[in-house]
Amino acid sequence: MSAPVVDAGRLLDTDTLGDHVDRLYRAAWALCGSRADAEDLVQDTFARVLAKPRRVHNDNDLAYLLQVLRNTFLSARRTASRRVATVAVPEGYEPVDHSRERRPADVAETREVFGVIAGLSDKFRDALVAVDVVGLSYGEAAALLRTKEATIASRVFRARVQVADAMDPSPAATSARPAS
Amino acid sequence: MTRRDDIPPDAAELARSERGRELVAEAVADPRSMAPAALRESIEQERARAAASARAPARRRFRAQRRRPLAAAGAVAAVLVAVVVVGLIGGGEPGEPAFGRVVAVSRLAPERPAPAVVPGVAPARLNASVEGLHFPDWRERFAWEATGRRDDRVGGRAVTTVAYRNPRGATLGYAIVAGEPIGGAPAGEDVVGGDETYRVAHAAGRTTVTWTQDGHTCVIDAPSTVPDAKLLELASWANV
Repeated sequence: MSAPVVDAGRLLDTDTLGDHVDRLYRAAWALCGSRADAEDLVQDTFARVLAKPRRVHNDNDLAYLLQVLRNTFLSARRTASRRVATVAVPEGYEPVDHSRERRPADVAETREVFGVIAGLSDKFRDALVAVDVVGLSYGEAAALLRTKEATIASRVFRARVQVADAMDPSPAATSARPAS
Repeated sequence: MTRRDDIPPDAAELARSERGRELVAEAVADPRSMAPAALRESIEQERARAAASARAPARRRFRAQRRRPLAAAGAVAAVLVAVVVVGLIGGGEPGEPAFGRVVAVSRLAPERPAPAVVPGVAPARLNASVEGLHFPDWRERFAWEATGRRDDRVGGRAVTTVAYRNPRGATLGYAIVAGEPIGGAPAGEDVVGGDETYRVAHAAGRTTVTWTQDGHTCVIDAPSTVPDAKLLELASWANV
């Protein structure tokens, strides 16, 4: 009788981690709803990943990194929920960033979209972030979120509707179906 | 009972979903949704440090030393007396600003004019300080002139940076972190001068010199075209 095959995986290639920073930053922004928090989340994620050699069990480093990012986000959110509430920063506040010239309308819309995604319920947000923000396939997202591919497709579809409704809230355009 | 997922979407809902997909795609394609330069720098340094750590057989911490004032004239000779340790320092304590982000902000362009020179004091200094630690005026002694400053917050700490330029156009950023010293300096060579230890690190065409002065982490970051000896000379003369 042959011994069971154990998937020992492979070591995460840290030399190419920098290739994923943009996509992880966008994912973090869509999870947190704020650029400042997104920076901290990405920083914490890379610090966690680089703290020791990591074994991954497939060829998709990005999916692995997104999983660590999401776990770090959920962990931080749980910790924050146990803390005494502090004074909140005003809605829509973003620190002034002089480093890049920008057009106010575009910036506002991009920021609003990420804010809307961050405000979706967890299952819709996670599916949308994995597929539309990070660019994973439905299959990869399903493996990451431990659900069926069809479920991911359904959640992404409904999440997109919710984003459109939030960004263009005209009565005729708004979906009649309740969000769930 | 009919489940919501069992109801096929109508044309309006399909259009709304497509509109949502477009909105997200536009946001993702917006170049301003890319990671900020300081974050990239920070991660790259973190990655380089981890790679160096993986290669190193063992870690050594350099000896903590009490600082005594250095005489400006003899500073460079003292600084270069010994290269003692090629060592590594691990990551900072929880809650500290990441070292890489401090270095990254020291490379950003100034946002305010250069601080004025404080007249009639020796050693010469600028009208800029962090908790009593002043930035030096290097014009007379080294011909490096302050060109601007910026004030950032990294991990909840104030980081003040003064930019300097020499007559040949080379620039450097000199940053001081408010509060307690932070850990996690990049891997590099420790150079002892007098009672001070300076960490000199090279990465991606840049040289970073870090040390602790009067209880504050100080960073000088410059292109690697500026000789290490010059940066050490500046660092050892710097804080007054």
